[in-house]
Amino acid sequence: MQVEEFTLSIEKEKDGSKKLNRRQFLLKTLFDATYELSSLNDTQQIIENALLILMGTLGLTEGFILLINTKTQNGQIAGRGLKDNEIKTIYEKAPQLIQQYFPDTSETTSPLFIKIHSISRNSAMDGPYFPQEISLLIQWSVNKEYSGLMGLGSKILKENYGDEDIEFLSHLISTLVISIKNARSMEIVRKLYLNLHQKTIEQEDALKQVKSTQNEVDRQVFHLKALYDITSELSGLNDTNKILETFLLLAMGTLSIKNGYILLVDKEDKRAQLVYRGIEGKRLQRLQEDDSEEIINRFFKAAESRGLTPMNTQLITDKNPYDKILFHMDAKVGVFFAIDEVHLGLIAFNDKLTSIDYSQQEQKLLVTLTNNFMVLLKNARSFEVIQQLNLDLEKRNIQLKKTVDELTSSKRRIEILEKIRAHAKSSIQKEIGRAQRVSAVDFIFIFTLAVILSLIFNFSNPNGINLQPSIWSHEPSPSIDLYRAKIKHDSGKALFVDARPPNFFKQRHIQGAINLPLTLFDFVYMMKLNSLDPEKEIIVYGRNFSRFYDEEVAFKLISRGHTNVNVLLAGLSTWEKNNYPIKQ
Amino acid sequence: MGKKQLSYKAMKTLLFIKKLLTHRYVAIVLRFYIGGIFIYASMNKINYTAEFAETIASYQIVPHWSVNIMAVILPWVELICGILLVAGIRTRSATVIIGCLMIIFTIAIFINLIKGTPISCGCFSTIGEKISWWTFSRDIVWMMMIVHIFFYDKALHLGKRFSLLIKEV
Repeated sequence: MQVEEFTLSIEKEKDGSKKLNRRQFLLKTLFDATYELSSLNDTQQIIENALLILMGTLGLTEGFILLINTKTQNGQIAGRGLKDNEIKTIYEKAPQLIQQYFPDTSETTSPLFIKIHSISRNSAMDGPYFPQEISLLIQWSVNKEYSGLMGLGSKILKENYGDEDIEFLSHLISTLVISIKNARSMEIVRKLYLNLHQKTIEQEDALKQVKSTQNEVDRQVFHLKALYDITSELSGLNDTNKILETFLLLAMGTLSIKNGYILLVDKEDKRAQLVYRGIEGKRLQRLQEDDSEEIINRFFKAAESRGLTPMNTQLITDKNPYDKILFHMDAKVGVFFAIDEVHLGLIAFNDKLTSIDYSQQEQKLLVTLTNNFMVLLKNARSFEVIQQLNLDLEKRNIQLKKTVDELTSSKRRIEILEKIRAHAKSSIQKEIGRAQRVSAVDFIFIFTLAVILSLIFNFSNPNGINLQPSIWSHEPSPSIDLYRAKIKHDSGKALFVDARPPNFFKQRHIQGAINLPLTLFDFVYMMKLNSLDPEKEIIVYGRNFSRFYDEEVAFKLISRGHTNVNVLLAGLSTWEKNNYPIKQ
Repeated sequence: MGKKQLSYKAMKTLLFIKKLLTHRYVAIVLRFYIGGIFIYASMNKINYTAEFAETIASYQIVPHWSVNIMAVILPWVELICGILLVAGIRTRSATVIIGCLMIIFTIAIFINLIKGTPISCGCFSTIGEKISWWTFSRDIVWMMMIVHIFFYDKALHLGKRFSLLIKEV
């Protein structure tokens, strides 16, 4: 008690400086509190620290600070000197407290709102919520979102709150509000930062995923391209061996394989076809040549036991010891395939250039490639078969054509022979008919021939004759009529010449006439008339239907120089009719 | 009975004779004979055209302007027809021509015989026998031979030979 009294006395003594010191102390505390609170980020910590500072500074025994989010109606509470369940009760009653103290008015939500009021125990308003120790309640508002309640108990010194205390309180609350605001902002910023960080991480993950997807896509594209390339490369080929070689080359290139081979066996032809690359061929060639039959049998047994159906493939790996033995495999990976019932094949690859094991995808690609390859191979084989068939057909066509040609030529020959035969037959028949017939053509032919030959002969023969009668070529001789001739005959002055042939003369002639036939003219003339006087009158007679003997003889006589030659035109018959003298 | 047998025999004989007479070999012989005669006759006439012309003139049956022409051509017709007959080519036509010539000659002889013209036949040579009934009957016989040839000549035809050859080909 003495101490108390002493202290009081000192206080009273030093009231003036005391007040000043107190003020300084409060200000310092305020400054410290500002500093301390502003450095905190957690609202819980802030309110706890603020409560601690407040209580410490003012010397309080009990107190709490409730920070309420008016919107979510959640709160944060810091309590000291109170029982836990009391604090909990306050915390749980936060929604009611909001309704009670912070009705939704502009006043209560404005940032500068601070209201300090003491709690009377009897008040129905405050009674149910707060513990008994709380004597002072301060309402404040941070922003539209946050509001706060601060309950303070009595001082240790049992003093009442002075003006300074109230001022300090209001300042501290301001600091608290600002700190909370800052903390809220900081929290938001942190949250934002955290969000950002989270997002960045997510983005990085996504990027990684994209990258891996890209890689996957790239690989797929590469595989597809390889598939396409191989297909397009192979589809142009029709020769099986070429396809095998090209495929091996391309497949090895695509998967960057060091060495490999393809073995194709043909059950029908008992033939094994081998294509290899990058390995020593001796062992493989032995496979192909020496034990080809055995290999073929083994292949087909394997296909049967494995249920390999045509146009199907089976992947073979070096992990399966059975495969290794079965196929003499030194290879790391292989594909066993069947084109049809009689054609089986094995594609085997050894190490890759990178010495990395074959990935699942590469194996898959290999199978796909093999499937494709098989289709192409089958096509090629079909094409070969078709080609062979075509070739056979062409050969047969040529043979057929040859046969047809031969037949045609034979037919033509037969036709010609037939024609010749018919012609010969008809001409023979014609000839026979003509030989049997009397034809005008024959007459014309014979007469024409006779005329031509006779004329030629006659003109070329020195003894030939004139075709026309000779009398036409000279002047007719002067004639004498019958009566005057009779007178001349009677007078005996004229010489009568009979020009007819001797036979006729002998038969009958004019009395006294001499015979001077044309054929014997020269001879008879010389004999009988050579000495005749050329001026002696001569009368020539004798002509008939066919010959004018008189004219011709008269002409000859005239040409011999006789000047008085006449022709008796009337002739012997008229002479005889007139009973003129004739000699029989 | 006997009479019937006789007549049968006679018939047989007659048939035989007919067969004999109309035999183609007889026709061949006659063909050669007539052909030969005509060839022979034509020879002289061809050589002595002028004399032959006189002979034609003496017959007095062709106009004076055609005598020489006939004398030149006629022997050649005879020659060609004779050759055809002997060779067996176009025998029937040749036979017809020869027959016609023979008819003309016979008629000419007949006319001159009736007229009593003192001419020689001129059948073979100009200085030959005079025409007479003998000459006429000889011509008649030759005419009959020619008729025989016309109807029965079938064998040894050169023309047929050619046909046979063609047939063989």
